[in-house]
Amino acid sequence: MPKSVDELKAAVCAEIDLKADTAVGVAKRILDAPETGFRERETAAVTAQALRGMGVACDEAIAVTGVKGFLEGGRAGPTVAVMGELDSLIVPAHPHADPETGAAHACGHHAQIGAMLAAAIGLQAPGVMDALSGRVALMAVPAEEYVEIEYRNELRRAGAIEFLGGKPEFIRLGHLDDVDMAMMTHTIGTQDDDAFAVGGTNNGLVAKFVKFSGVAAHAGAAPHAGVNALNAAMIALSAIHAQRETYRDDDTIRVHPIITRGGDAVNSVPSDVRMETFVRGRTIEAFRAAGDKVDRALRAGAMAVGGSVTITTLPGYLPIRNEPALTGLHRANAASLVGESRVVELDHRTGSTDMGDVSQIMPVTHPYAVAASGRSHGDDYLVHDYDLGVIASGKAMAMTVVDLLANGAEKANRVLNGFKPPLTRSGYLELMRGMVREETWAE
Amino acid sequence: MPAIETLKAAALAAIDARRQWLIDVAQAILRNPEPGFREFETARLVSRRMSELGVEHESGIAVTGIKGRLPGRSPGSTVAVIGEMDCLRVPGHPYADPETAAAHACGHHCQPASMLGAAVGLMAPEVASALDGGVALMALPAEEFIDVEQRLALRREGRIDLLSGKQEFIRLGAFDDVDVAMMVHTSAASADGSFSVGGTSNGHMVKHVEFIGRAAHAGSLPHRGVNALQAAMVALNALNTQRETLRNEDVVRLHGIVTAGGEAANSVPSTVRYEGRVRARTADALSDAADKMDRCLRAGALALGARVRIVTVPGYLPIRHDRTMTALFQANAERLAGAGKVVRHPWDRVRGGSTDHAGHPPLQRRRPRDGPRRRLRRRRLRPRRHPARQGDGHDRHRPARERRDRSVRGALQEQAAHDKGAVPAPPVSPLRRRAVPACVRTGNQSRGRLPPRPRRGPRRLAWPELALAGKR
Repeated sequence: MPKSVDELKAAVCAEIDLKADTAVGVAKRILDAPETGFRERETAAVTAQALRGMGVACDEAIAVTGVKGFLEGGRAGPTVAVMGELDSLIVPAHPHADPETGAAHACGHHAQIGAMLAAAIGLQAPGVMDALSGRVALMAVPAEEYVEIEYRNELRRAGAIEFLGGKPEFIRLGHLDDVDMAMMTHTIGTQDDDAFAVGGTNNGLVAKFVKFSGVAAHAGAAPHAGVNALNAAMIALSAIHAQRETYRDDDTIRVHPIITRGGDAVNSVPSDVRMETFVRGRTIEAFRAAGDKVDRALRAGAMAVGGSVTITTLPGYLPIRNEPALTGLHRANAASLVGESRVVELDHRTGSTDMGDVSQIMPVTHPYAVAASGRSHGDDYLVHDYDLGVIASGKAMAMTVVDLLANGAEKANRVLNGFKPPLTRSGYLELMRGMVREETWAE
Repeated sequence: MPAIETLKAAALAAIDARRQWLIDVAQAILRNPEPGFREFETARLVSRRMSELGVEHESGIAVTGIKGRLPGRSPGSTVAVIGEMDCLRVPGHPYADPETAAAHACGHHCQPASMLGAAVGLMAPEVASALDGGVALMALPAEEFIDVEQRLALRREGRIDLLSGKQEFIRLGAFDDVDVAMMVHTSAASADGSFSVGGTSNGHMVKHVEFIGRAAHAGSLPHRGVNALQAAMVALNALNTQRETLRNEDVVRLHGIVTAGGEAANSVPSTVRYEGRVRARTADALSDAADKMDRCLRAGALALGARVRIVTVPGYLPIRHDRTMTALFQANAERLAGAGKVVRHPWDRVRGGSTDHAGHPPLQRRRPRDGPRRRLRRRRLRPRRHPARQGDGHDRHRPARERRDRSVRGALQEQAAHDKGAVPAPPVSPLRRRAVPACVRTGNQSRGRLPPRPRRGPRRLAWPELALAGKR
């Protein structure tokens, strides 16, 4: 006796409520053991263990630490991915920071794994998957935060990864080849009474790892014999700022460098100074053009002091596009849980996510659950509402899966038929590889 | 034949008799300040006064210069007595021209008058009839190296070639019949005494710089513009970071002014001009500092995607005083001012400024085969003394081995030792190798590597190519 969509959704939600502690428990366990990208071994183990505990076979160590399992439907059909991100940030002052590494879930990714597990729990309610046509891919993806560039660049040189984000690696390795569309729910903090925020766009970015080389010399006795790499970096930073008036408001360019090495001893002319920076923008063309301006500023710094600069440019993330039909389905489910007035539509956001990369090749929705307080990436960012960030988020995603794959996957097929991907998988890889550059500029 | 003392007494008496006449000349020039190559009124006054004295002279040399001649009783060496005619631009100076800000803030107005004073003394009948050789009386234009843009325009019109008065006099051959030269510059009152002699000066180089960007509405289309002012700001910030690499003993000065800083506040500046000056005490240090200025200017352009055109104009060479002449002058000055009132600075003392009196055989005996540009003697570098002690005329703060006999006799002995070859022959200055360089660099725009560093030599364009290259 086939159940209706509403009956299936009710079964899903009841199952999630029944096993809420399991999903929330995993999230809180991950909160207390934060690990940064491509190092999430414990987090991945906890996730895989939870999946196996509910009878889902899964592959591990995809793109170093990623986890992937499937829920099979009663009949064949499209594959919908429900994703969670494994990695933490580095915010040493965060109350849940690892005292040794400074790693902390100051962006709430731990709740994502909980929400992904909650969705899996719900979809495993008796009779639900049997009534659906297609599959659900459950994915725990590493390294969404684009940090520790130097470490990841070493992984890259060692051949462990090619791209510095988890989802680009999943795409490269073919782990999204058997997926047709994807969704995940990110937490967000705000003062308002909103519960979900959906849609909108994000900046894309390129990352730059910069090394200024000078000549060391005694800073007191022989500064004329040295070439000051720190001065080169200072000139470059000034020059980067001097370009800002040339950025169009529409392009929402963000350039925000840090110095990761600024000299070795105060009485020696600095000869090795390193910087990392992102160059973000609303479109691929915009952030690449801004990246060229940053390059010439960096070269100018080296030229001015008579030193050299090595600029390693690595592809970052692409701008996200939330697929409207998929986002609409999710929005309706979220509204049914929290009320229409507590779901808001997002505009353009100037941060970046590697879900943007996925959105360039398949339909994606990337909603936010307003389950946190404090500044995102700050030491006061805390997920305080696990009912919303894990349970309601998981329910809304599972209900959306039901919408998509019920009735012979009619709605999933409609989404797919109406979607024209901006990039093919091979086109995506070509674009990303085309952004990789390592150049040394010297007088 | 009268004794030298008698001749000097006659000369002094003649000068004293014309005391007010001479001071009036100086004050008339003070009240009519004219910058270099525009000293038309000043030159007319000097010419009239020379005619009044009966000195035969030629005018209009290097635009406004004057050269007169007092023949001796028989042929012999020619000694030039020089006065500079030009002024500076100093708005706010009490005698500044309200429109042009021209002002005699360097005291050149006294120089033609003191030159005429020397003429008056030397024309006293008993003096004139007792001297062999001749005296060249010279009023020279344009010692201050300013208004570079206007002078480059004069150059394009073919009215000058080099940008200063003495350089032009040398080029035009006006110094060819001169064997030794002297002039007296005024200086501000200090503990130094009534006269100071000796020391040296910085050599310098002028950078006439133009940043070329692209104009666009600064409010609505800043992304379409290329901001030449930002390029200049990046360049000048970069220039300041070089200062730690300059050695104190090289007395390097990197400075300049922005002569055009944008067209309108609501337009992205597309043309920004900078008149830069590089000074240093040795040719090597000058070359090093100039390269540093160049790379900073190029970096500014590179950073903003602008272009920069750098016209390098030869400035002045470090001055080298002839020790014998200086000693003679010192002895005479001491007679007038009192023995303790003449300070002779160490031969290698530099205060940071430059003069084109260094660009010709200054206070030096002429060595015809060497041509006008003297070999620069590279002295062993010695740390500068503490500024508070500079020029105090006392040796007590210096190590004994560095003490030198700075009396007249000591100077004469040093010079004699040098002439005998006791001091090794100086190497040829790189400045000389450069001949008279003008360098035009237009730049950046290459991909994959930094714009090529202009190499000394082939890449430096000679003067005749300047106009052509400037049009790029």
